[in-house]
Amino acid sequence: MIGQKTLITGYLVVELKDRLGRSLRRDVRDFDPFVRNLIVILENILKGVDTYVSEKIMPITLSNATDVEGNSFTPMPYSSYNPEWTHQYWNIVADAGDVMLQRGEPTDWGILVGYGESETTINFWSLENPYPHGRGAGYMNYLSTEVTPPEFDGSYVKFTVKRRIVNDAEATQRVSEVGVVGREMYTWRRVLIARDLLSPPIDMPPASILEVTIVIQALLAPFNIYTAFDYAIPYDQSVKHTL
Amino acid sequence: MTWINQRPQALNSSIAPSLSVRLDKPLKKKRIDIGIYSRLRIALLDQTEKLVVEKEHDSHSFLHNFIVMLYNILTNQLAQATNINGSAVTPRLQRKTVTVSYEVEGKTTSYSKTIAGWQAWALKEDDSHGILIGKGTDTVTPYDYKLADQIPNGIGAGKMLYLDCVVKTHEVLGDIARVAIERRFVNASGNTITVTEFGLAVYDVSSGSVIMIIRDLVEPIEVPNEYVLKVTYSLVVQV
Repeated sequence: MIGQKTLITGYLVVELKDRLGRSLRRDVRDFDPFVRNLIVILENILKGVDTYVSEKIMPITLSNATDVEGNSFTPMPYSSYNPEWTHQYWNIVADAGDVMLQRGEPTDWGILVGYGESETTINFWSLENPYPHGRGAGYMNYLSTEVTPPEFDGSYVKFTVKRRIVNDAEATQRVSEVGVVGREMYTWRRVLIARDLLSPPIDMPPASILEVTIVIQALLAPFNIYTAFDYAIPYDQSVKHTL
Repeated sequence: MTWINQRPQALNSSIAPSLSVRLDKPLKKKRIDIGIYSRLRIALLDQTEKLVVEKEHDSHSFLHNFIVMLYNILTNQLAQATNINGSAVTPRLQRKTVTVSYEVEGKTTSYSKTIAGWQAWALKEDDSHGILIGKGTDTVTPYDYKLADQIPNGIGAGKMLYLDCVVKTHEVLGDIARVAIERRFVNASGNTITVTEFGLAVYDVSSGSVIMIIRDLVEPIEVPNEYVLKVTYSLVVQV
């Protein structure tokens, strides 16, 4: 079991560039971010809705998540605006902050950065100290997001989400946390689904650009190695089998 | 090695061989996984529903379908998955109002209902989706879209009775959050049935089709006649 990784995971590529776009440093880091909100979203999707079954046979009760403002809400498995023909989502592909401002939309979603330093706990519902969109000290200028579709490289299926963030303040600003906030379709409610610390943090000089790429990857079959462990024997004596 | 003969060694001296043993010794906590991972727990129960043996496996096999579905809901894209019949579908989260009709003794009854989601729950005897079991041995591949050889629902040779498949309310335990999907299968076939593969398939309301999202192979499990197999898939995140 030691060192064994199943599953869907992520890693982070952060590249700091100067105002001319020249790379100052580039790091690839583990990104271990998913929080309870994501499990709630998955739970509600897998439960779905069936009014007849719920009423007559067995109740289907959806759970609540917490939005970025700390409010409890129920992530629904359908759009509440026009559910018959549109599809529900929690979009993490945010436009540029200025574009969203012009449209009167909230800007605090997608890939966000902050200067919080507390370790993530499972119930985290927002970045600890997010940089809001804007210019000047205490703000970051969030540009648009790029996404690549899932592709299988023989071992992993992965897709990437990339956002550029500009420090338009006249002072260096430290980035120590990265989060992913999904915006619920039509309701515009924002929900944190992932958050991790950057260690060591990145100090962004004035006019520098931080390119944050989140890679969501799944280690898929063929990988027929499993470990079966019995409660009757100690954990460390569990046996690894290969099929 | 067959499961029915397996007894916990630590307890052999104090438990009569004819008694089933409840294995509730807690696992030592150890952090080994990051991201979203899946656990498969399989319990064999005897005719009186006493626990005979229980094992937990890391589930290694999220399929390409699951990544596509995750991608669609996080990026507002319309990538395609493969349904259980091998056809390309676009999984979306959509709500529909449908009319269900059935005829009994020449009389037709109809009712309307609202449905939505990618439903992992299923009612008793519905072997179209939910947790599924099989006896296939084909190596799992990312593009699998069905079990290699599904054991059908029923009472009779080569069949097992599928009970309700339930999606449970999520739990938060320390730094872990998880949601479990559970189903029981009863062997009323008259003979021992060997189970080798498990899968989780969801009913996609938007396309009206079933999409498999997880498939696993395990060491063969022999389920004697009248015994019950309890299967739990857990999706887990841990910070």
